[in-house]
Order: sequence, then structure tokens, then C-alpha cells
Amino acid sequence: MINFDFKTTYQQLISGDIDFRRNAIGNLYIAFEKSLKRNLQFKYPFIDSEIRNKFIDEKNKKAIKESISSSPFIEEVIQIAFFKILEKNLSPKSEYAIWGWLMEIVNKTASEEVSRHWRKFEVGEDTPSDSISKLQKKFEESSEELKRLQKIQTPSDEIKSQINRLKVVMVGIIKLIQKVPDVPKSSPSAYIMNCLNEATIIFCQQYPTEAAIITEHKIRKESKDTKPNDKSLNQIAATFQMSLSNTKKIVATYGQLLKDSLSPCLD
Amino acid sequence: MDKKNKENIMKEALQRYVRYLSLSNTEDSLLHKSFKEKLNHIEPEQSLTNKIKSKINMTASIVGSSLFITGFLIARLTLPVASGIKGVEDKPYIENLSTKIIEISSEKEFEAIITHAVTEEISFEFESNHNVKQLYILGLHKNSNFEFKKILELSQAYEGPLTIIVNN
Repeated sequence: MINFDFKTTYQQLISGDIDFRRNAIGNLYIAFEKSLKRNLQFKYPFIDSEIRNKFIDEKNKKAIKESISSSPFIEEVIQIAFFKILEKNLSPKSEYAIWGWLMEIVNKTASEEVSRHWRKFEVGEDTPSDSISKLQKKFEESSEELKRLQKIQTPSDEIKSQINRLKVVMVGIIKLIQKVPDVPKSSPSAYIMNCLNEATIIFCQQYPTEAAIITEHKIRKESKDTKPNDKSLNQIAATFQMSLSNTKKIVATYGQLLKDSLSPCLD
Repeated sequence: MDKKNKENIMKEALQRYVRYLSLSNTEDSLLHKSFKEKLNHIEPEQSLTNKIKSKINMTASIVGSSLFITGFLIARLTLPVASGIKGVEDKPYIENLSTKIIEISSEKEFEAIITHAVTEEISFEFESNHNVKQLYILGLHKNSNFEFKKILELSQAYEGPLTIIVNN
């Protein structure tokens, strides 16, 4: 990824030649599809192919499942975002802003597509639940409120319990609409595992980009055998088009935040 | 719990979540192939500026052509078909030459001149005012109307209008 030629891609994107632009968009998709997908999966944990299966009536379930099994919703959203670049003649402001520019397009497209996705369930004649829009609204409100409360430097006990309540609400909604791997709570270790899973989902939903960077740093293939060092941070910084110091800061700050979110599960 | 343990727990939690999310991943080669195929069918939309420009051009051409047609029709209906510029077809210079005035005193001679003019189909205008009668011949051509010119004692080379006045 570090070898990705941003300069050539930028030149191709700003050229008027459609074949150059197609080539650049194809290269960008291959290089960044995975990171962008991870980012969206973190941001919208309730949306994936599973959600469709969950709310489709049994009669059509098999056929629709087959038709979507090779193209989950988030993959479709990312492709739509990349098609938009060509359709609407979009181009980045500079070669150093390509990642941010891509993120902006993908996030905007995802926001539109997710709303459309919800509406489709809402207006469907076989809608199995009349509370989908309520759930969506509640999830979004809880997410915003949680973000706000987490910014408070020294939260009171009341705020802490409010934060916990919001987390429970969000996890409940995610679990309701998507089958999150859940370990039977028969043993203390199973309870801990479940708590850790929930805390991770909430953290990734709250800070998708930062979570993607930490994930790249901590658990990507290269970091399995060797201890993460400045070299791997350099590569991540190049991928996300950030400065090394900024990347280090994110890894340190948000890594600590994630640890803090997980630690109540271990008490 | 020590720092190393916390780090490991964090890594494991992230690994579990990423592994779970990866379950829905489509195989890369298939995904990239389908993307490229779809991308080849996408055509760029016209930008807003270009759309506006083409609309303006279209409107201008429609308005321009309709104005031209309207103007042409008005001109066609209001202006006469023939230009009517006197003499273009009939040697106009003859009528524009200075007229020669011939005065005669005999009424009979005057009538004989009129008869000749009628016989030779010479175009003329006749005016009568009390005792003065006037015959205005619009134009005589060079080397024509020999007899008529002979009666009036004019040279055969004469050309131009002619005014014959009879005084009683």
C-alpha cells in the first residue's frame, strides 16, 4: 500500500480523458476498498447482508439471500461511491488529499444509501416490524449522545451510568437487527467475552476511522510476526495520508480509550 | 492488570470483531472483476455548467431562427414583390433626359401628331388647360419612330422625352 502512486492517480483523475479516469478509479478501488469497507462496517454495525435476511419474510428469504450473498450491502455502497466519481466528474483537490476525499465521498454515499435502505424496509408491504425507523432513530440519537458524554473530561457518577445505559441501548439495537457473535453467559469468562465484544463494537462505531487505524496497527498481517514499530506506523500514515506524528497520536490516544472501554468488563 | 495484559486483551477483542466482519467479505478477485465490468459501463454525466451552456445555445438557436423566420415573413408581406424602380427594365435614361419642347399653332397639325402617336403606339400623356393643349411623350428612342420624327422635323438620332404644345 505504501507504494501506491498517489501522484499519477491524481494526474489521471484531473485529466479530462475518461480512460485515464477509469484506470485511476479502478486502482483506487483495489487499493482502498478494504480500508473503506472496514470503516463503514465500524460506522454502521447494524448494516450488512445479515440485516436483510433478518427482516425478509420466509417465503422470499432464500431467493434474496442467494442474490445478495455475493454482494453484501456495504460492498455495493462502496462501488456506488466509486461510480459517482466517474459519473459526476469528481476529482480531489491535491494528491495529498486523496484519502480524505475518498472518505468524504464514501461516507456521504453511505449516509444516503443507508437512509434509502431503511426506507425500503419501512415502505415494503411485507415489513415484518413497524419499529425499524424508531430503532434507527433511537440508535442514531444514542450514538450522538454517547459521543457528547464521552467528551466530558471528568464525568460524574450520574453521567457514567447514563453512558452505560446508552451503550446498553445501542448494543441491544445492534443485537436485535444483526446476529452478533454471542457467547452463552453460563460462565464468568463467557460473560466477560460478551462484554468485551459489545464494548469493541461500540468503540468502533463511535470512532470508525481511528478504530481502523488501530486495527491496521495492531492486528494486520504484518504485525503478527513482528512487534509494531515506526516502520508499520509509517506505512499506515502513508495509507491514510496522515503525518507520522498524527498517526502515532491516534494510535496512542484512541488505543488507550479502547483499553479504558474494555477494562470495566474485566473488573 | 498489567499493561501487557490490557494490550493483549485489546488486540484479541479487535481480532475477534474483524474476523467476524470478514465473514461477509466477497472474494477479492470476484469483487474487483465485477467492479471493473460495471465501471466500464458507467459514462460521466454532463456537468451543470455544460448543461446550462447547451440549454442556452439551444434556446438561442430556437429564438434566433424563429426571429429570422418572423422577420422574413414580415418583410415578405410588407415590401412589394417587384422593386418598381422606374426604367430599370425599359431603358430609364430616356425618360430622365431633358425634354424637348415643340410649339405649334395649328390645331389640325396637333391632331395629326396625336393620330400618329396613337398609330405608332407611342406612349404619351395629354393635358388640356383652357386654350393650352399639351402632349407629353415619355420618351423616343434613337433611330425609331421614323415617320413620327419626320412630321415633327426631328433628327432620327433624337432620343428623350418630348413636349408638344399647341397655342390657339
